[in-house]
Amino acid sequence: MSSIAVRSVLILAAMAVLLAIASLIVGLFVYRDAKKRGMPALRWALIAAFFPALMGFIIYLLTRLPRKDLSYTGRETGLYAVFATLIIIPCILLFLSDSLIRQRDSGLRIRQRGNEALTINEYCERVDVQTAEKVRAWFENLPTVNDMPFPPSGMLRYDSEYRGEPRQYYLAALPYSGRSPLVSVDVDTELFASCIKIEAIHTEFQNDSEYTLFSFSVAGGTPDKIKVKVGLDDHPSEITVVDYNPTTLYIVPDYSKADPNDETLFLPERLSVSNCEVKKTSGGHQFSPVGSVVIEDRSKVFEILKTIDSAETIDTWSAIDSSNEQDYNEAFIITAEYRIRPGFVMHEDMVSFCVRLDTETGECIIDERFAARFDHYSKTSVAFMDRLRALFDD
Amino acid sequence: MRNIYDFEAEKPPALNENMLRDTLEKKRSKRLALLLVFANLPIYVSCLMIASRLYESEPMVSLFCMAFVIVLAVGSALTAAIFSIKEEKKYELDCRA
Repeated sequence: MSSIAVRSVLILAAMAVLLAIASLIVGLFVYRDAKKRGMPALRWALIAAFFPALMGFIIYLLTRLPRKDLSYTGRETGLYAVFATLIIIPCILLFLSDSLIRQRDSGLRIRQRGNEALTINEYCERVDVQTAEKVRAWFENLPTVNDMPFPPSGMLRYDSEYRGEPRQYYLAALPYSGRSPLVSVDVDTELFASCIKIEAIHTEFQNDSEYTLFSFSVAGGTPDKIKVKVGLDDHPSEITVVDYNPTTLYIVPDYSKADPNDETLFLPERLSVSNCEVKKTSGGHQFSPVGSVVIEDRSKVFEILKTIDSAETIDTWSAIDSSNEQDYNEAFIITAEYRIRPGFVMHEDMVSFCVRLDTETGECIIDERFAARFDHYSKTSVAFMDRLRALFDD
Repeated sequence: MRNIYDFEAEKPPALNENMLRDTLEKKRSKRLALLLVFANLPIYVSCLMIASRLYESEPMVSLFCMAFVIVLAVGSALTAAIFSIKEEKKYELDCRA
């Protein structure tokens, strides 16, 4: 039995139990009341319990015989239990549906995504030759879209990690998506499962029989499910794990563990260091760049990046509290720009923000790469601050 | 003065405390029955809300909830119709008697 079917059965069983409890309480009240009134108790209890929408209970109330015993005062405390049940059980059902369906913070987030979906030929122009060969071989083995009404969406997945955070890089082949479809990818809500939802909308209806390739990366965990929707049609996803990066996305290495002599090391084309004046405002701090230095020497770039990646993470909330109380007097903004395509130098992923705090936390780096994780404060040293200042003395 | 109506022709109905208590209880039961009709509504609403929320992720549960609401509504309507017809016939018989 699939896990989805098991989950559905469990939910139905829970609802059935709750409704059975309500019927049982109604049946018990009617049984006891009918007995005291000299009516066939079991028959009326079954009618009250099993007739839909409490109709049996309503009919019993309208047709029951009067009570003859002198101790009867007209108060029926059992009815309070019945009404309480009828109010509490729907509230429990609503609470269950709301709390279980509400967006779960699974920790997943879409870290990067390709700008567009590509045909296989466009994809091969963007990546290196070895990756293109492997992906083309996989692509040609995908089922022909003309043979199946709802072919699966094949996916290649590469597992990586960065400073303890798991990351997956996916290359999805979207069937029947036409040429240049509009693609959105987002974390989705589902009961008991974390999942990613990919939606593609046709922009052209020619060449509809081809697959298009779309890259994205996920951080913070592995999704339980990936849902693919092209137009109005759902396609199941089939994931193959590979040992190379099949996407058009770049993977920034952890420079604290990288080998500086490795010629294939992915380093920024250039590193810009800006010296800033800091003014405290009512909303926080305002940073105004007053000077900028560009570093293109690979060894110097590597040293700075290695220092940032090696910095020890500190508690974010205590750092924020300290920063709000103290005055900054100096700050540096470091921006890394990577050449990811010939003639194209841009990288919005790595922006490190270096701030000096005159507090017990000392000099501290705010790394914008990890802002979503709330652990983007790390401690650096006075020597590093001096090195950055020295860049402007030269 | 000649009476225009014969006040001795009809005897007043026998009335005692038990009959009055029965009348009170019947009125109370009718009020309770009306309350129960409204008490049904949260169950309908909760089932419909569950059906709409789980429509995409758990279609089987959603289908069951919608079918349950339909059965409840149809069943209760039928029961109410049959009961009211029987009560009407009983009332007519009582009136003739």
